[in-house]
Amino acid sequence: MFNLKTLPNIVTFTLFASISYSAAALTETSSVSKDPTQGINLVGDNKITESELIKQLDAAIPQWTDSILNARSLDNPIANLNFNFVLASFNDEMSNLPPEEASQAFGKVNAIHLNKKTGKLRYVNRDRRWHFERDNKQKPISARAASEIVSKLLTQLKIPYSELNRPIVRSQIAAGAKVGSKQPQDKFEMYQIAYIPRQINGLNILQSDIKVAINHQGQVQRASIDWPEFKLDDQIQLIDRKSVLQNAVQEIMLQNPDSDLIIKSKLAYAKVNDDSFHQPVAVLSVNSLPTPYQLIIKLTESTSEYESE
Amino acid sequence: MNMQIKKICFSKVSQCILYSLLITPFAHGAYEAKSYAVTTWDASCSGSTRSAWDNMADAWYDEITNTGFSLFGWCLSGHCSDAFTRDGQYVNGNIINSKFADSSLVSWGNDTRHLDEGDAVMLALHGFESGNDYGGRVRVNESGGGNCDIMRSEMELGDSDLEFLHLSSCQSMDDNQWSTWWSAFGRAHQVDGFHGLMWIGSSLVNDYKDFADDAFSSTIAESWLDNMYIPDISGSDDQCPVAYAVGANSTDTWNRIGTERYDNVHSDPSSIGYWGVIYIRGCDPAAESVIASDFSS
Repeated sequence: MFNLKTLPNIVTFTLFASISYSAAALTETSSVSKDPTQGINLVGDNKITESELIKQLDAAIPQWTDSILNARSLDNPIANLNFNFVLASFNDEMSNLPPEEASQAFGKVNAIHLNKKTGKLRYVNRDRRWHFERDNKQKPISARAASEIVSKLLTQLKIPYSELNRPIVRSQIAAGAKVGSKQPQDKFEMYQIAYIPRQINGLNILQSDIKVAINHQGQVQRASIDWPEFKLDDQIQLIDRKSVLQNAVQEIMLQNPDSDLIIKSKLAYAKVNDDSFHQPVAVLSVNSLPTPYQLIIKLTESTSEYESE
Repeated sequence: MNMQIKKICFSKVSQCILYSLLITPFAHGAYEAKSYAVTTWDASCSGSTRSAWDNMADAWYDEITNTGFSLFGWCLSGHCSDAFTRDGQYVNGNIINSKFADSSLVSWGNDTRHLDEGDAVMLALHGFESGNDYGGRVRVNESGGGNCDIMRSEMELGDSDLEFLHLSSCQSMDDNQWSTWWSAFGRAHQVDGFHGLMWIGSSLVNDYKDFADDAFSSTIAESWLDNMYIPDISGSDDQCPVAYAVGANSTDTWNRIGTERYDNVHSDPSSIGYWGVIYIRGCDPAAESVIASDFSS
């Protein structure tokens, strides 16, 4: 069990450490062809064979062991929140709050969406927005200062530190020009935004992350937290790798695969088909012209007699 | 029926009607949503199948039109009277380019009763770039005009009705197109798209639902960025959303893109003298260089 008193420092360190990673990412170049529309051909050639796909998939999908089913979450923090607690955490206030049954509350300049069942929290304060005439000459706060603000917020909201994956901090930019200009004449930094994926047992949780925008005054302008309760289905068992590969091949063959497709994969936990439980999956990123796609391939099958669809 | 029974029945009916009025919100009807999505190009135009695309567009459409539940004036869930009305949800079928083109630009254009009839429209189809012009691949090559592609240069958005166009389509807002996208604006307010390639998938469906949901409290532009920006989506590339707006001048443009929500729609721009975008710095997608690093291609 981690010590909540030390959490702000730990999270700040993690966020700050990410800044160098973020800066390095700016200089990365894509490994994918920069001209995918030669001849404006938008259909795959369907020439790749199933055996070739199996080879690619086998190389791309990481190995897994039984330990992938030993994933537990420490807490369900969003379920414990209420509007007053959220407002206090964001150093804000709102008069005339709705009944507890409501999933949303609206003030004159602020709004909260709090869905305890799905683990969704949204907050925005429109008085804290970037204002062109007021802020166009102002500089954003440093990424380090933004990290400290975010770490304090996550501590107050009781988001488990151990489930925070490596964050990045990026700037939201506004750029524009008078019509006729070939490129932007004006450029402004609007907010520092921290992006933090969620992880459990060393794997990312799909559709579960945190985004927080900090304005030039060091206030949280908006926050988006998707933190559903993590429950691994205990009525599942792992299937063999060959079956996983075969299932993936069938999905890819339905999408008119091109012979030069590139497959990358990572393991993760996801809710599949709106199930209330999470389960381990292989996330396939298939960069195949003309539009790339993600596939979620289950690593398990149900052990219950009556599998729900 | 005696008077007593009549009174009871009337009382119950009145209660039912009153209760219904109290708990059932109605969309105000002022704004209309439309959605066009292609998943299979098995008619006269070619394109690779992308099975999950309609689910993504449908998620947006169902959420922007979600009236939800209100009680005694409290909007407890959904968007109550701010919800858009359902004006058309089209998947595959006869999706042709004339529905998205303007007759003032091409003789076969017929967007007035289609794309330009909605107030907020989601368009989900394969995208590409030709020169500095965005193109989308439709499903059917209609006889008598046009072809299989709808180009940005064939669009005049909002001269009939459209305010907000959301393009779930690759290269729909590449940085080298920014200096010309304004010319497709009639009286439209905002176009949202992607720099470089965007991604399809069942795991991304909720992003489209959340985009619609959040755009009633955050701005449409920031909701687009928050829900569509996905760092390292593929292991090497990011997904890079861009929100684009126009205005009479810079102050007008930044005020529009910085405050317009689905429940806070401004009047149409009086003129177009300036264009502006918002994006995430350093975003590096497939098929394009880092955003805002090369405006030539």
